[in-house]
Amino acid sequence: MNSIAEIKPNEKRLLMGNQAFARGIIESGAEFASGYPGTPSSEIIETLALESSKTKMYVEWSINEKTALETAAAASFANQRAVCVMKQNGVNVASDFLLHLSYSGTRGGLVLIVCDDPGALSSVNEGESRHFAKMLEIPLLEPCGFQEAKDIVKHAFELSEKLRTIVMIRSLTRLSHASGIVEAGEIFKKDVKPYFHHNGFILDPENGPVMSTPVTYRHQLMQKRLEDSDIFFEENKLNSYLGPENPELVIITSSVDFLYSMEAIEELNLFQKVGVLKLSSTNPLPEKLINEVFLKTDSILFAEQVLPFIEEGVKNIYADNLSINKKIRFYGKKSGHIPSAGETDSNIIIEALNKIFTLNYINSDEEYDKKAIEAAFENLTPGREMTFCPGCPHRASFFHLNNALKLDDKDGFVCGDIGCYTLGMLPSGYSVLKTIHSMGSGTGMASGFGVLKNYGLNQTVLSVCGDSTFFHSGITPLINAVHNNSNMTMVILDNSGTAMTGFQPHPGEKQTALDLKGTPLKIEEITKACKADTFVLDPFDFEKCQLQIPEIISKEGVKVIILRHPCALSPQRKNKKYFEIEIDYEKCIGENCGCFNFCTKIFKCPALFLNPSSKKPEIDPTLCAGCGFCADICFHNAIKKTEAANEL
Amino acid sequence: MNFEPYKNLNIIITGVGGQGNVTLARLIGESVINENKYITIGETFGASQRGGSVMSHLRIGNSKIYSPVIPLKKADLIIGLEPVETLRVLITYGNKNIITVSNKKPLIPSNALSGEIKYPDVSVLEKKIKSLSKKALMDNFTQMGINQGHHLLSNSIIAGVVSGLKIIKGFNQKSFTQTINKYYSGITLEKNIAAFLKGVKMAGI
Repeated sequence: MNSIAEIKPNEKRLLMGNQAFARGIIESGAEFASGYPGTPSSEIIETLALESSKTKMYVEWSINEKTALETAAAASFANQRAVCVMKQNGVNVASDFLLHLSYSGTRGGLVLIVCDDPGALSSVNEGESRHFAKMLEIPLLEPCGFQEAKDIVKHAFELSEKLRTIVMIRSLTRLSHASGIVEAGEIFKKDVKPYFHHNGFILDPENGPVMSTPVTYRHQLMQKRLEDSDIFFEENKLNSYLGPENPELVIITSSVDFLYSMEAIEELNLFQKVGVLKLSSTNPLPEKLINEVFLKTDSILFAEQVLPFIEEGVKNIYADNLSINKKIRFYGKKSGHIPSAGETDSNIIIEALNKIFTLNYINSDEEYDKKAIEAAFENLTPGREMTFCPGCPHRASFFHLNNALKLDDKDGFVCGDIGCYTLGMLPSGYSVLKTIHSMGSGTGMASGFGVLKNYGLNQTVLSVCGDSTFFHSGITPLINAVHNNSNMTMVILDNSGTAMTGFQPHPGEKQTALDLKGTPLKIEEITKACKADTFVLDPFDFEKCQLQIPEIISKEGVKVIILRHPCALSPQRKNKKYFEIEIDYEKCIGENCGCFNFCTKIFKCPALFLNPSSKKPEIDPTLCAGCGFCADICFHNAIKKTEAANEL
Repeated sequence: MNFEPYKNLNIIITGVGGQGNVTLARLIGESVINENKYITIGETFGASQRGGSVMSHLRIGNSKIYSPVIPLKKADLIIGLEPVETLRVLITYGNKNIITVSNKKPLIPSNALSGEIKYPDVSVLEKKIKSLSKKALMDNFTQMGINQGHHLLSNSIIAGVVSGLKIIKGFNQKSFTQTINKYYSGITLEKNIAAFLKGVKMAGI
């Protein structure tokens, strides 16, 4: 197979951005890597875990991002090179520790890689991580392509060790989850034995204890480090100007927006008029280079994702520049040329340049466009509502929860967070999910709703979270609910892994990032120890769930229901069917049944569809995962399940 | 149709989560790495396994390719694994020179299963796809895959068709076999190569 660690120096490979980062980490000789899964960041730690037998790197899927960063910092304090990886939301979780770490400084090189998701392609927000670098006063690097994604890691480690600070690298979905050709470099290995020196003087950066105090002193050091990193950026030529000597306009950009900008300039053939200041380091901004741009041009366009981070920084530098006495026109988020919400791409930059230069650019021909627009209005491309996969235990779980809430008849609701089960807000989850926020927050919300019972709230309150989320941030709000005598039921949808991001292991399993020697912690033992009434059920056990769940949720106090069944796509279930499903068309009377096509219209498994001519359901054998749940819900027992042979 | 060596090729592979879209893009990309200086793949698969639309942007060529995302209206070839998805992409990325290879087998969205919306008639879709393409090759590749042993072999048949059209420089039986050899072995490998050859033959008709 394609081993990332075994690519020979100078060999070129088609690598995903995240694989390029992983290769960069391996080439830098990192000894320690930790993270928590989250799209679009997960493949970095996954790749490092896969290569760990060759690299001898310690790799860990941590319980959450804060703990991940703490473990990586410990390795740094023990003079190891360490990397920590997370998605943008993870930095929010880790930020408490990060704020202290930026004061205390580091020893072995410590690099934090954060993958942002503009447009929220696989997130429930498009939060920006760049502002953390500014707030925490740490250097920030943003690679402008696939080769740079690999190469910049080495710079980050060197900078970290030179200045004794954590260095942050920000990636984006379109870099992390895109692929390009990358030329491998040499693998560096320095082989330092881990040891934590702590007996020196309190201010001794190499041998003293590591802490954020004395605060003012360390804060000043931190700010000095940031100034020094500007020198490092310049020495290593991380930022550069490309284009004519006196351009009519300069685009200041970084990351994938550099690629989009180049694409736009080529598409509009503006190479003679437009220059580009390509920034691979965005905190601090390279003042010298930016001041040079002020001398070159009268117009600047900022191309960056989401918020005007570079834009505001450059305007600050302009305001501080006392020697410049000409007016510069700034185009970007503030002027409305580039939106501040949603994803920016080359089309948006083309449109901005089109407007600024009044080019009357049209990107295709009128006749074709007319046909395409007509087709768009003919209702031939219905949107695809997202749904649970065939055989998904969550579909069964939400079926039970919806029924229980309906039987209970108290206008009850479910509070949740991000995971596959977020689809509980849509019809395939019977739309029972009514609040969705950060990980674990469903249970915190339910704890709050549940204490309002004494003040007149008489609705039934449920929360859902996944098994990995339970460990990440579900235990704390559960304890809060128990301690404060809340009234709620926490439903843990345990599908045996961090399914949404690709089955990364969590503390409930023996599997770790490296081997099968982890100490598994049983969720029910934890919830019982938290003094919550705990029930474990299999969502595919139709009868038991239908009988017990309504009873449990109507009880007083804090209850936990663990609905446990592996994900349909998990390695243990994929391509295996429990049952062969068949429809008995003598029993199924279709539209005359009075069930209103319950199986296709209400249950909505993608493997069951209504044949428009016979008005009866059919099974799509290419999609059916053979879970058998549809056979249990048919009022007429017209869906037959027989045990599957599972020959592959 | 001959490959124009000066021209970079913008390919969009489109379909629904779980259809093997991302794998097909990688397979073609890796197969032509020796013949092309620049290759990028842009993938959107966050919601892929949950019934959503998925696209891979594959850009191949020998002059500089900047971004992994193809600008609107700028696709040269669409490989559609599902007919509604093919049409959706044609509408936004199509132009009068576009070539389309598309599966005719529908994957019904859950909101159509429940009767909230109507899935369009496949023959209407086919007509529309053809009217928006310079050349369109359409078939029920899923059924052909099933006939070859597994529904997902449809992707190797489609890869064969694309190879047979000789649009992508260096994408041929040899390079396909070399790449797929890294991922599969034994009977699965043989079946994929057989499916590929079936596709190559189809393109010649």
